[in-house]
Parts: sequence; structure tokens; C-alpha cells
Amino acid sequence: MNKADILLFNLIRDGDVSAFEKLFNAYYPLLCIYAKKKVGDLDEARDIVQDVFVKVYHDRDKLAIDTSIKAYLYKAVHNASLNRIKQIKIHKYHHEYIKNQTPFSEDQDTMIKAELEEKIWQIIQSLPDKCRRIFEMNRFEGKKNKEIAENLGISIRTVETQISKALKILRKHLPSFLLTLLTLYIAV
Amino acid sequence: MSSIYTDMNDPLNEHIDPELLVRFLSEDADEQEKNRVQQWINADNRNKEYVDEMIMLWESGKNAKDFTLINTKEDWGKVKRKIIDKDKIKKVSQVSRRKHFIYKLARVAAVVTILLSAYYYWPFLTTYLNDTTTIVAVENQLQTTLPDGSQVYLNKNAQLTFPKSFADKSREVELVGEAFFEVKENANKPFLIRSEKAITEVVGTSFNVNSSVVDSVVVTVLTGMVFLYETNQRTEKIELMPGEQGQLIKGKGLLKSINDDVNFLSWKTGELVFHNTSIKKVIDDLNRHYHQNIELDASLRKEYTLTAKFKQQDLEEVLTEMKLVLPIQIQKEQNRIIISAEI
Repeated sequence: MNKADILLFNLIRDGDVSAFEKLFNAYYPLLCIYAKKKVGDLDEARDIVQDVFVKVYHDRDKLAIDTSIKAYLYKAVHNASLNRIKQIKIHKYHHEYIKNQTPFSEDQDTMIKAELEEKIWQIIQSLPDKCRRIFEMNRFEGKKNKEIAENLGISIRTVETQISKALKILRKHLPSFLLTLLTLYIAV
Repeated sequence: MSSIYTDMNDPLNEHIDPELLVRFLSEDADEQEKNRVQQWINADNRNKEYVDEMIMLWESGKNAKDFTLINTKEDWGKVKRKIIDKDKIKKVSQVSRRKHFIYKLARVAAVVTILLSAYYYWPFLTTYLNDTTTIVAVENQLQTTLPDGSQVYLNKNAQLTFPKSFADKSREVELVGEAFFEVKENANKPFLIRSEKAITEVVGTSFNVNSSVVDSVVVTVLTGMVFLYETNQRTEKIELMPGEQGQLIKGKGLLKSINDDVNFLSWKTGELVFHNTSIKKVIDDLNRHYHQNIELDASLRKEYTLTAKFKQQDLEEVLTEMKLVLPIQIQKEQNRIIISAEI
């Protein structure tokens, strides 16, 4: 564990709930996205991650964390997700079950994807208002550029320019290794 | 290898119109435009890498939407409640191993909802025949203090009967309707809420009791631990932990489930919370909270959901706010309110 992890975890061991809240705020959204990629449903994923946090707090005296808190949480969520999938043996999950039996050590790409999406989400929040709004209308709301132009009373060209601006900012702020790694995974 | 693609020193960027690339990604490009992008990709392997990265950003950007659907603050509340409750129970059970386990649990505050059936409205226990007090909340909610100092909040139409002084071994009360209890701790005198079919046992705790569902008794635990059993069969009882709900249904016996209704205490807190809640459940909660008869017209699409929080607001305000976010219209008739699709 690094120094910050050790300090934080010592506080949590002493029963400091606000230290635990910090840990929760830092990793909860990311872990939810990670779990969703495994179980295919966001609400299910949220339940899984909440249970993991409850268990971590409950077992805080006994936990042996040898890597980092984040790596430990990833692994715990990975295992909890697999358990949940096993529980739900109904047919529609069968396919995912096969797909998701990957051992944790070989599951780097799901983690990297979740991390990338979190970074993108954070950068989108800091985009200039107009640029952010247009990018979100396209990507989050699934609107065509023509529709966006009509809704906002601007030209399609302006919509395209703003989206291109958003993409450039995203690319500039994202660690290039993430993108490189991912394009490699996609190629596989 | 990616570093050469920053905007400053990327000569290749000049060769492709950024808007054209956006059209390509948005699937707005026509055949001619697609060919132009394809030619550019084929011209240099670095161009291909650049477009691959853009596609990756494009797809991941779409997936990032899920972050908008995660309410970290709200979910922290759920986790916090669980860890605090578990901690308390853990501490209590650790010290009590050698002593009376049940009575030690008395130290844990519990919040319980009990739905006592109006069907089970029954004559008061003979034990209360002498020195008892009965209070009824006719028009408004009512608050009272029991002989042991415990507090009771009665919802509209609720009725509570209790002795002028409690017996030596236990504290027994009867309730018809809905009420919220804050019971003073007393490990030697368990607190019992009776109905015709069921008894809820808690020992120093707080809980909520209701009688609006016909033919069933429902106990919901927020914190602490509670027992529920049939009046005539004390042997068969269920133990309820935080978040769990026990039900006694006529003909089916005792059942245990998880409480998923965040608004079950709304009558006391005055707060209604909806998070992607189906319109049907919203209306059910409003009817219960405001004692109204709101109906959904068949024209309304059932998949509408509402995310909102109302605190101490009157129904008029709530409906106005709903109208702002949902395509609905509201029509008032003599004894009912009808919500239909906006024309």
C-alpha cells in the first residue's frame, strides 16, 4: 500500500466513518461502471458495489491489503459480480456467464475501459457549456446532429465544430497510454 | 507513439477536415465523404491509429452516460445506514454472549413499520379493561407520551390503547392504524404491540405501525432487531434485521422480505423521494401520503418515471412540479384526480 492508502485505511480501521465516506466517494462510481460491464445491469451493479463496501467496512479489522485499496476493491467487486452471475442462473444471463468467467488477473481491459469512461465523464463536466451540451445531446441523448442544430437554432456545421472541439479536448487530456492500450484490445 | 498526435505538432490533422471526421463518426457522412476518410486512413498507419483512437473516444463517450445515472450521495446514505446498524448489532452481540441475548438487543434502537389490518380490528385485551387510556387521531396527526416516557406519533385515523401504568414484566399496547414509536430503553420490560393475529416484540426501540392493508400485518425494520410472531403461536417467530420486512398474511403465515419502499415513513417525515420511480408507484405513494384518490388514465404511458424530492409540500405543488417534467395533464373531479397524457 502507498502512504496515502495506509493513512486512510488506519482511520477506517479506527471506525472513522467520514474517512470511509472519502473512500466511497472516490471509487464508488468507477466500481459501479466496472461491475455493470460484468453483470450487464447498472442497478444490479450498484447493489453489488454497495454490498462490497459494507463488507469491507465490516471486516476492516481483518482485511489484509497487500497491493492498493483500489486494486483490492476491484478484485472484491470482480468476485462479487461473478458470484451474482452464478446466482442468477436464468437463461438470459447464460451468455454473460460464460463470457465473464475470466479470472481477475486477465481482466485488465474491463478495468481500463471503466477508468477511461470515468476520465471522459470528468472531462466532459469541465467542457465549456455550449460544447458540453452539444456533446451530451449527441452522445448521451442519442440525438442526430441535424436534430441538435434544430433544437438549438444553430447550423449543423456549428454542431460538428463543437463536437470536434470536445473530441480534441478529450484526447488532449487523456493519458495516451489508455487510448493505445484500448485500441490494442479492440484489435484483438 | 501517440505523442506525435497532439494538436500542436500533428501535420496530418491539417489533411482531414475535423468536421468531416465528426460526420464520419456520427454516421452522417455520405458515400463520397466516407471514401475520403477511408483514403486518409489508408494513406498512413498513423492516420489509422488516430481514427481508431477517435472511435474509441466516441464509443467510450457514449458509455460515459452511465455516470449520470449513479447517485453517489444517495447510495452512500444506504451504505452508511447499513454499516452503522451492523456496527451496533456487532457490539451488542459481542458483549451479550453470556447473558440474555435478546434483552441485550434492547439497547439497539429499532424502527419498525407494522401494518395492522383493519380486518383485524379487535376488542381490547381484557388486561386493559381497567385502567387504560385510548387515544384516537381523528383529523390530524397526534403525539403522546406513554407512562414509561416513550413517545408515540399517531397518523390520521390511528387509535392507541395503553394502561395508565405498565405491568411489571412487559409493556403492552394495542394499535389500530399507523403510528411511529420511540420507546424508552428497558431491558427488563420488553415492548409488545398487539394485534389479533400478530405480536411485534421490541425492547427499547422506535417503530412505526399502520392499519390500512386488509388481511395482513407488515413489520419493517430500519435499525435494530425485532421479532414478529403469531399471537397464538409464540414458538414460530421471525427475526427481522435492518432493511427487512416481516409479514403475516392471513392463510399464508409469516413471510420475510426486503423493504424497498423508501417512502414508508413519509407520513411522519413529510418527505417523499422518487428516483426513477415508475409513475404508478408515484401515484400509489401520493394517494397514501395525501389520503387522495388519484387515478392514472389509460392514455398515459406506463414507462414514465419521476426523479424528485418533495418536502412538506402540499399536493397542489407536487402535481404542478410533476406537470413541468412529465407530459401529463391533471383533471380534478369531485372525489378524484385524473392524470392523463398531455394532448
